[in-house]
Amino acid sequence: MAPVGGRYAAFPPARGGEPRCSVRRLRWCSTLLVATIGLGCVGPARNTTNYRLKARNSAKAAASAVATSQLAATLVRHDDAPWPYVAVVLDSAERDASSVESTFGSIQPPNPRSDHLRDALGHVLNDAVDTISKMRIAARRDARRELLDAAQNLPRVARELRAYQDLSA
Amino acid sequence: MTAQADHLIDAGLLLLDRQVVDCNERQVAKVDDLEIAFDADGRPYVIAILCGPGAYGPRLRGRIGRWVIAIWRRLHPAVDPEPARIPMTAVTKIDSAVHLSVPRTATAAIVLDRWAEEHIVARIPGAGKGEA
Amino acid sequence: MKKLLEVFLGVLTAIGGFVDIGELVANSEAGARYGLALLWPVLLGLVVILLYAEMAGRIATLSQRPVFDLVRERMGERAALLNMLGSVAVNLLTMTAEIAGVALSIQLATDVSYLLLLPLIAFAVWLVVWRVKFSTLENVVGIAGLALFVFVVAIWKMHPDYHTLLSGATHPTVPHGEGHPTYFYWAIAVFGGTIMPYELFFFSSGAVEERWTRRDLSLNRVNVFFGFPVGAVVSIAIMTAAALVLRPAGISVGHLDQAALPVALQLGKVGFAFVLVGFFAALFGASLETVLSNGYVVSQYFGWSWGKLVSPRRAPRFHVVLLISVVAATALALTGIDPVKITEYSIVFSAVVLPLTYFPVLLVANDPTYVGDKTNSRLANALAVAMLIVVTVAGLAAIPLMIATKGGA
Repeated sequence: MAPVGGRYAAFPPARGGEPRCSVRRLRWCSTLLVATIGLGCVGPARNTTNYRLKARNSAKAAASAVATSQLAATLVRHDDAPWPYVAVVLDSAERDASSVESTFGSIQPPNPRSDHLRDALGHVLNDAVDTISKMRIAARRDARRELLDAAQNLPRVARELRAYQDLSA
Repeated sequence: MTAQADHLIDAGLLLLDRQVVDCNERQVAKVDDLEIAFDADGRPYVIAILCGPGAYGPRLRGRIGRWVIAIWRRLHPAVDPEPARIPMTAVTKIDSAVHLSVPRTATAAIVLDRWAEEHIVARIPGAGKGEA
Repeated sequence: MKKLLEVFLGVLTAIGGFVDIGELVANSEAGARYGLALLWPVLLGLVVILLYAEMAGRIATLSQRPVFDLVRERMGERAALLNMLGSVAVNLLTMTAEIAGVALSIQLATDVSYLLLLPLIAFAVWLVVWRVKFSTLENVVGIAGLALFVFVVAIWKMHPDYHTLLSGATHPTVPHGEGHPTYFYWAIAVFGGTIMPYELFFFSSGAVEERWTRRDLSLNRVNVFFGFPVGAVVSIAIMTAAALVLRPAGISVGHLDQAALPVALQLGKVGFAFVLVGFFAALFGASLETVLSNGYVVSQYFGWSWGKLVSPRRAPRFHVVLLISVVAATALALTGIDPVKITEYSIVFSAVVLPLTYFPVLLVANDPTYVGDKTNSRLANALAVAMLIVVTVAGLAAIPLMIATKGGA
């Protein structure tokens, strides 16, 4: 009498042996996962081209938040959605915009010539965050008038951001 | 392998890793390993199904297998524990599952189920009725 | 009438499976970014899930063996262990995102931070899997999930140029300024979202629990071929709405709230109310499905007794797994990790686990010991093999693409 393990020859299991490295492979995958998540962060800009590319992407991401806020303003204008929803939309748009602003601000410009780009775009990004913040504050106070007033600034911000989105690399 | 006997089966393919169900179609365990004996001609016969960590651990092999066995030995009340055993005489049918002629409560394979029931699940309100 | 109600098993699986938080956000993002150029992965995913859910349902009906029994039988204890651990990990990530998603959908209506709502939602999810009868759950969630058809209504009210939409879908092009790797990363995200592994686990285990018999084979077909396309329609509608409204505005979708914008803009407060009910139902359904799937996968791997129709005391280890899963997912969600990012990762990782789950299903669907004379037709086999190759390629490409594109950035 004996247990029939894979080892024991009497009834070898019909399927082939397992690759020995499977557990190690799993470990490798989890390392990759950690590495992938780490890659999300923004590194330093290597040169002017790279910096301009990063500026362009930042402008694009901020423009998305601004456009979202514009749609939120449309909702308010037509009384198409309850206040809490408008507040949530503006809140996440604000968080997106301010994360773009702080990320762009923290990139080291590669040379003094890039400082101008940094200041100019930084100013527009700041303007975007400010406007969306004002709208979010108004939304949480159910203040229709103030929200729409603040929203009047959005088309200008959007236009300025568009100029940076066409930035040649 | 020629069909020289009716009961000659490929135990690895047909039995190992199958679900064991009781006379009420309730799940009992998996066929984690088999116990075999040899007749006078040296032909092997399956005489029992082994299940639970004691049978599963050795088949896993490697470090994880050793851990399973070590934890099982440490937590098992017996000094030199044996894996849970279901004799083939209790088996009525083998198809997509291994069917037993007895209820699951009559097998040794549900000791851990009982433990989890008594110590965790039964203490939460609304756990319902247990088995007879 | 009973038959009609039972179709909701399929509808629930489909709404909860096709339309979960990853789907809501990934499809909105895909639509906002690529228009309908990523419609084909949805259709491809639909074919895959139709084929394999039908097989899994047929096997479960004829042999009472759910999917993970097959995985263990055909792949042995070691390979199946890896698959089990992988599936549990993917399930946990998905569950985290779904539970957070339920809280987010309530946040949309109340502006109360979803983190505060999380413990309450998690408790409700656990209470349902602990006590509520399966059929009640299916019907309520299935019907409420249909509220998402409001996306179809919204599109219809927009009077879009269907011809342009169709040609965008049939002649997919990568827009200027977008790289091909990113396009294919999103293709895998959309494809993977439609064939999340828990859909098969849940569907086949449900069929076993409802004790389907040979007579129910047609029911299985109706469930699969009605339920999943319903989910696909909703999921395509979400993508189209984003393509029509968010894409022209240059919006990239990263939050659940943005997915509701097209409907609110078109249909106002009433439409928005439907969206909320639909989001809540779909996400709550998906939470239940992922939690239960974890119990199914682990119990079926080890051969423990499992099921929602028996009392918890009769399936104690199954319920211990459910409890641990809910607690773990809630803890992970409470760290404030972005639920949307988490689903995107879980979808991509699920593409890696899937082939290991589909392969045994395909093998057993051809094994007369299990399905008697109802083995696959040649056509079904040819299609299934082709789709298995597609799924495998997607699985192999998923992680490299994810790294190369920094998660589709």
